[in-house]
Amino acid sequence: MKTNQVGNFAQDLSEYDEQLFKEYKKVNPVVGVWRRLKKSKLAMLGLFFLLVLAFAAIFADFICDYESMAIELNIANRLQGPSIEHWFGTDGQGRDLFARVIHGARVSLGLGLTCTALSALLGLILGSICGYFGGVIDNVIMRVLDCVMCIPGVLMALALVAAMGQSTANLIIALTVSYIPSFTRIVRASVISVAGNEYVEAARASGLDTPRIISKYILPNAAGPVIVEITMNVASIIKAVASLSFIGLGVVPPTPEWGVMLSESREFMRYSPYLVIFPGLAIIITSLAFNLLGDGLRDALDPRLKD
Amino acid sequence: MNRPLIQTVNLKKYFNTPRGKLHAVDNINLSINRGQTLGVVGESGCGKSTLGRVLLRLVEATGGQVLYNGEDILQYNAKQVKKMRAKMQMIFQDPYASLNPRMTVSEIIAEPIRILGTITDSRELNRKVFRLMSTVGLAGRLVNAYPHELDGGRRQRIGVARALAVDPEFIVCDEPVSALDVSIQAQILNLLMDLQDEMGLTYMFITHDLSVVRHISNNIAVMYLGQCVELCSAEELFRNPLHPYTRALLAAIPEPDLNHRMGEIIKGELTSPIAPPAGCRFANRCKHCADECLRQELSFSEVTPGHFVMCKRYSDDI
Amino acid sequence: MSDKFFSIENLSVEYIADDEVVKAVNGITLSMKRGETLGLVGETGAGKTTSALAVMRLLPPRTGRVVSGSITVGDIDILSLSEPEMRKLRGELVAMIYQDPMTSLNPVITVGDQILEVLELHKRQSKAAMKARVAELLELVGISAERADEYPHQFSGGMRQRVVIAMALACEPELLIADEPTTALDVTIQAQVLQMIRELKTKLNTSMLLITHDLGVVAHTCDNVAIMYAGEIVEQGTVADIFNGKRHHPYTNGLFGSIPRLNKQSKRLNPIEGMLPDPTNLPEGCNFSPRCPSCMEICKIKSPRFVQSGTHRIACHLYSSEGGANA
Repeated sequence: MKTNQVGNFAQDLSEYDEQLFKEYKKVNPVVGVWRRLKKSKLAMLGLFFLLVLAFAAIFADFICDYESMAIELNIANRLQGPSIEHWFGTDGQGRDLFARVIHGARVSLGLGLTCTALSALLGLILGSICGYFGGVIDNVIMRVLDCVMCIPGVLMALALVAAMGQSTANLIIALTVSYIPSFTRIVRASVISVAGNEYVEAARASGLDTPRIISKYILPNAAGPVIVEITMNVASIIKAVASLSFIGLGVVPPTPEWGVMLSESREFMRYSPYLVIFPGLAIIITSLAFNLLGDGLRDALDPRLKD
Repeated sequence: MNRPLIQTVNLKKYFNTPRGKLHAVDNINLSINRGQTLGVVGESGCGKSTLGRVLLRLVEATGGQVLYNGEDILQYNAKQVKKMRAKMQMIFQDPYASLNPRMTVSEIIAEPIRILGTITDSRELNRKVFRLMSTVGLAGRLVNAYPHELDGGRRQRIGVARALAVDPEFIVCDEPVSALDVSIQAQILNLLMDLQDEMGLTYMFITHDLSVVRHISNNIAVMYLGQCVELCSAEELFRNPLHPYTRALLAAIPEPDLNHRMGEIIKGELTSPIAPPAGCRFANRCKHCADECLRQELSFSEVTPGHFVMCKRYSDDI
Repeated sequence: MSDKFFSIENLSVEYIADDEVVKAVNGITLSMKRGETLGLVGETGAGKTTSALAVMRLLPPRTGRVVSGSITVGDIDILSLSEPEMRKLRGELVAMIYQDPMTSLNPVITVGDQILEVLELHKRQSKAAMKARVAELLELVGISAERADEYPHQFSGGMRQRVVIAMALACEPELLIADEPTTALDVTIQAQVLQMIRELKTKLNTSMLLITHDLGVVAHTCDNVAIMYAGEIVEQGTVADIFNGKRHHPYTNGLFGSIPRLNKQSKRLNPIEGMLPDPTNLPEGCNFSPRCPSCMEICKIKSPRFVQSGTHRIACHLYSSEGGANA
């Protein structure tokens, strides 16, 4: 019997390849992604806004003092328009609006990212299972999620918060649960479309086990729509937190949260529109920034697109 | 005589569909000797791809046996299957869909070795990848390229290198050249034949193209609606085709030759493989069909040494 | 009636992709008489489909453009027509059959209505007359007229391709362009469709431009053949010239050497080494020179002109006075 060694056939590496072999090193995939991301001006704009917001959220305490400027009532100074002293003016209780928006970034971004991360993680796991295995498991999970999905997200959060009491933890749980179905659906759909590819079968023919097939072959290729969904959901969750706070079930005043601020400013809206404009702008810019970055990331993560 | 490396015994694969059982592979009995090539020919929907996948346990069989060196691999547990993967590999049809677009050439070729864990030293692994690349005729500078940067022929070479990576004995080639241009097709066919000569590989070559299969195979199995209707040596099949379907297939090929005239063209199209009726499955397209063809179950019988056919009326003068 | 019914003169087509210019077709010249079938043979990227789209004036509007050349069908100069004029002629003068019967039919409209739609666009006839014509067309391509009310998914691949052909024939076009009409079909079905195309051609006397990569299909359907490589025609002649002639372009020899043959068992195929050149960066001289087994010095400098002998034309220095005579 002939030996089964490829080496016999190829003899040895040619000199050229030997040279190449010495220089051979793996490209860092992150570098490529960053290079492609840089090409998109809109994504960079989104990233810039997010960095500013993150900076504000992290260093809020150094920018302006929390207690004295964002919490303490100062009725004498109430409802002043924007000025050098108070950049965004002051609210109905005389608190500095700029300080509250900055500190609010901490609360809003924190809540938005936490809820998104949790629901995305659970959605990824459930969606991959449903999409890859199909059959009975798929049916059971999807029908349960359909039931969850029947209830509008905010209403669901409202019910949960009402039942379990008003606290940040409950708010996070409530929002996470209500966002799981949409993640699961989108992950499931892209997993199904990717799992039909021959390269997945090729991986199985090479003896790869299921968890690694999912993590290495399916999820990276299914990531595009999921990333867009994630960034859209950050925006949407920030809005949901704001809405819940607006109706008094989310973050409790006097904690500076953008929705709370909008809610508190309602009565002064006619004479002091800036009270609504600044927190409103903060919400809009955050949503927009996440969406822009998400679109750019989706494209940058795909090596098929040109460098 | 050579002992068969691969043998199937009454191999069956049925899929459940809302409209009934789909007989993709129905009682297939064939064997492949070590170092030889069995060509499996048939039109779309005849079950030839499913057959290849059942052999590799990519699709679980409904019944029957697949003997590899005499052992029934359908009884293997997960651990044994993993070991078996090192001996039995597959080359896929579509070089555009069968490579993960997010992995580089070297990652794709190294993947089966990494999974099997035979080479752990990364330097040694790289060396092996380079050697495989030069074996299949891929320039070394392509190590870090992504599949989408390469044309179909080069991609299919990656597919071949990946299959060879674990030094297999048996490779199922599922239409490896049908997505390629003719001149590239010939390059890949030559490569596959050279590799066979060099390493004593055993192939199951699945295709719809009779001229390709004649070129590369020792034996040929013709499939129709899940059944193997004729099996014999390549030479015998072209010299003395017995089954009316084989004859129809041969007659339908337009040869690139002005003196060649196509034979009589059969009417009708493939019927559904779902819940097929008893009797001959080709009966409704066959001009020699008689009552007995519709009533009785057919047997796959050896009519001359090494020539099997599933037809009641092959011996009638047709 | 003029001798040439359909002709392409010196046609060049470019695609603009990002900042690159892809030279898809580089100065091809073709002609055919009424009722003839011309086979346009070549591999992926040779420019066959691009040439066909140029004739139909269906090049992608923003990226593709005709750089030079003229196309005439009958006595109509296709490239000088306005878009509305051209729209009227599509289907009536020239019609196209696409490769994939699975995607070239609308899945939510019955096949009868799809054919009817083509008729409505072009001919002012009574509803009843058009209905009768649909039935007639279906019978013509071998489908029972009762199936007019069925949807495409109820048809098999071969039957769908017949429907596509019926649609193309609906307005009795004078020139039919068939882009790989049987490539997606199984062999036995391909044989049926080819036979039908041959019969229809004699019956209707339609001229046909058949685009294919399959020399077997060419041998069984065409009168004349043009072989394309990298956007150029390298060899042209009657089927007898191409299949039985003694002298050939090296690329043609390569194509024939690449095909495994049924009637003789050869141990090895003789493929053409290498790949098609990058159309954004074509080589100097002859486009085929980097892959050519008989490449000479002159081939790398100067692109060859056609050498004619009778109906047979070859663009290769091997046969020109400058190169081949002494080689």
